[in-house]
Amino acid sequence: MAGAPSPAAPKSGASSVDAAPSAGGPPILAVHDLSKSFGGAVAVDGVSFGLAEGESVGLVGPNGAGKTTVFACISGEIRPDTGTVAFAGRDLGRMPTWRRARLGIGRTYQRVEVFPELTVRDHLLVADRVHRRRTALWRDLVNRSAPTADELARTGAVLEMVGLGPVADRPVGALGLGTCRLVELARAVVGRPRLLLADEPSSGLDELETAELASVLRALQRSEGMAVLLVDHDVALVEAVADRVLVMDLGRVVASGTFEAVMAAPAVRRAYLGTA
Amino acid sequence: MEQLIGFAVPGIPYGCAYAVFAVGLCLTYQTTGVFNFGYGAQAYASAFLFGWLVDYQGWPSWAAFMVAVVVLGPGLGLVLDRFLFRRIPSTHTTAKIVTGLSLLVGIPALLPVVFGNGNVVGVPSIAFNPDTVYFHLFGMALVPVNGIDLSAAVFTVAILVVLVLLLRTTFLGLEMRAAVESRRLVQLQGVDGDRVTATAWAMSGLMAGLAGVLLAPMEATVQSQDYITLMVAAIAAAAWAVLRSMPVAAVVGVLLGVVGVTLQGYLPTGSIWYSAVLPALPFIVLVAALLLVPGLRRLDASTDPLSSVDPPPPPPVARARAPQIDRLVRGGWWVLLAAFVVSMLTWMPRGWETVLNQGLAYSVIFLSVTLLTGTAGQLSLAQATLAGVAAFTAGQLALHLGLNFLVGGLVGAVLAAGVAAVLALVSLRLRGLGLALMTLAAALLFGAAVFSSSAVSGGTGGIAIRASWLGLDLFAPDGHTYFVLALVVLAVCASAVVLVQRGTVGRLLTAMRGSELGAAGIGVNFPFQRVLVFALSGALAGVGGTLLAVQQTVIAPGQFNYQLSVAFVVVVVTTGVGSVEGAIQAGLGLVVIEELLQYAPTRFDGLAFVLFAAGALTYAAHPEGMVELQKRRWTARAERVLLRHRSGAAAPVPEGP
Repeated sequence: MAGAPSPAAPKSGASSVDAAPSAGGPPILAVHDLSKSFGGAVAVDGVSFGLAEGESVGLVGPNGAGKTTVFACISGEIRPDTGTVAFAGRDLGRMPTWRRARLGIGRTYQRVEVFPELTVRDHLLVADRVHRRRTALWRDLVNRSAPTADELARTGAVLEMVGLGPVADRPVGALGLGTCRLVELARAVVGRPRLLLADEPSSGLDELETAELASVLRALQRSEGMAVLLVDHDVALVEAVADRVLVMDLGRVVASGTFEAVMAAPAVRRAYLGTA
Repeated sequence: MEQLIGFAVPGIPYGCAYAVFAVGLCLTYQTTGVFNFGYGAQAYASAFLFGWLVDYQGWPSWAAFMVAVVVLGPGLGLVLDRFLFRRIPSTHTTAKIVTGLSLLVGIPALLPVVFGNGNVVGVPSIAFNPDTVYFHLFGMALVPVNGIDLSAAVFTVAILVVLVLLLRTTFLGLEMRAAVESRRLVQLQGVDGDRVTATAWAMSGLMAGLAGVLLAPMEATVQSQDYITLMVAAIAAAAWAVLRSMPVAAVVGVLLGVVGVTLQGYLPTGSIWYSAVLPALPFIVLVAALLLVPGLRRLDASTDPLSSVDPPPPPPVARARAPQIDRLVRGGWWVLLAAFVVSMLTWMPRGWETVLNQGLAYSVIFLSVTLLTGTAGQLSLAQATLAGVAAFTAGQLALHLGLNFLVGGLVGAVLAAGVAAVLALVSLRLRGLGLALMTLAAALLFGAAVFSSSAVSGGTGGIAIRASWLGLDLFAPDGHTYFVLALVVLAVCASAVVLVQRGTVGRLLTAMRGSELGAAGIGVNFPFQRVLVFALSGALAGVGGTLLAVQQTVIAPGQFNYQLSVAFVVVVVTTGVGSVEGAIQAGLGLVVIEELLQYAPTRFDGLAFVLFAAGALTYAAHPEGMVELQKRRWTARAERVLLRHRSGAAAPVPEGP
């Protein structure tokens, strides 16, 4: 199924494009019949898809297709009007963002959401401690909050992997946009999430940095078995990272399959170029 | 029916006063993007000048009106725009609030310095004669309409119509609304954004001046307190209008006044409804708006596409300075501390020891501001109230159960932490301005409904603390015992704040301040962290409040009112809200300046607050505080001089924006 593009969705009802995970077994993420409107504008309209453990999926589409809204519904920033999101077999329901993150959903943002006054290393340290539930107030009050050797090793390894070692002790507010995106990525993966939602991570990066980002995402997927859901306009990055691609247009999934097959699909050409 | 109308009509002038202020707050917010806490102070300035020119200089009313309203009103607005608000980035909500609060504290304190302490009484009306009954409403004898009623109603309607037409039908109104979203973006479209915003501020200033002079004849004496209380009550009306719809603000304002005065007529005077609930009515309405109106939760959602071009704040100088300088500075602090302790215990005159002891108590309260605002980025205008909760609890426990006052203070601090936690819980959905308003409403509610009750506070005179309650000789004439206790408490509290700031919780709070969304995305439990930091801050304020009460030997409502909460924020922001040093310098600095001013003529009594307000006005440019800024400059100079010839010296301390 993943090899050939699915036909375009019908005009009504839930998205009929088969966007089930390509691998067998229960999906790590299952989105079913997701819809969200803002006033009269329908941002997401009956979207269903799934991701298998360790699978990498690209979610592409023109501006306004509803990709970021889908992301926000998965991570809990927006409550969908209808539909469900299940993670590792558990319905996330009305669970707040922070609890979803603790379950193992990492996230980067279209508009960078970093902590300007913290250093790069502190970003990772905070994320690591939250992930390991090592944030009790009493540790601070008895002065037992200095980074341990284990913590330094873990954060150091991630910093090296994404190439942030040289700026590890600099406040993030003093760094450029491209570096901030890498900080976000490193912060998201330091807790070893089972699913990474990467929202336009190449925005603001040059060609070389984008290629490095692609290799980092691939390495994370392979070494950690991390599933990746990637939204990006950079076709080369999506091609390099994604095992499978979902195409959204006007709030619906209009095609699903391998990169090459999907890009040749009439529905996709219609969405991007206005013609089949 | 006639009785009902008879009770309601006297409420119209008050309702119109709320309406005029509420419309002014909406106008300023809609055209400048600033919720101007200084609006009431601006109105007071015009009213004061008007009355002063008529009373003391013998000017005719029209000439005084021209100077006080037509010149001073817009002029003050232009000055505020040019030198203050224009410099604040559109997304920096805290800076806008702090600047407004500085005006609220600074302007009323400045006027006596300039014009002297004389009272302005019997201000003439510029419109209808207050003593003339112009007609009887519906022909009912019980419902006379005098000049005050008439001018309030006529001017409220006229102001409302003019402003609504201006904003909705003119191109200038459109430009103003666009400039609020992003002045920089408007400029990129070829519009002179500075001119547009300056016009908005001039208009807002004119409105404030007009409101001030119109309302002056309603009271026998022109007092800042009346204007500020009026404005705070008017906030409730503005809140129901989401700070945008002027007609809604006007209607709610009028209703507030009319309902309040009508209830006053019907409620039994001895009941708790009359004594506690009625005075708190506007604040209850404000709390209801903050809880129920969804638009108030999104007040701080910036839409400025160019907001990201603003530079980040510089790091604290203690973290950025070279290790050699750091060692020198730390050594210097220890020497200074030792000298301070020795001086206090040996040669310090008794009067000054008392003053500095008070400064230590204030420092503990100010640490609560440091933790909450400096570290967590949350603005509370109820810290003095929380201090009062602990002090009154200790007093009541000592009075009725015979519990040691200091032990009772600890119980009170726990209760203050609980009150703060509840406050944080009910305002979980509020951010920035909404949170500031909620804490202000809580402070006002406590002041009007709890601290005013003699069962809690022992009446206006307060509760006198007896030496037998303390277990220590804290009232000893030499003040040494109190000094040692206050110093130990301050050291413990300061250490706790430093440990929290440097620890994981401090990092989490800093992360939340940087990006709430990003923090939630890595699993930070925002509700828990906010409740935690509010509770910690409440406990610190409670401990400080108990210390302050012991030092002053009495616990009275006036020691813990909302004006002090506002002043506390202004004072700490001036010295440095991000560091423990800033809180201690604020505590000691405030009492030392106030003591020195005792030697100056009485008109300079409020100069301390003028100075601190002036310092806080620089918050936008230097959010680290004036003392921190000076330290940064001195450290940079010291590094240039001392480390010039050393190889491998650390990078120089950044000068900041």
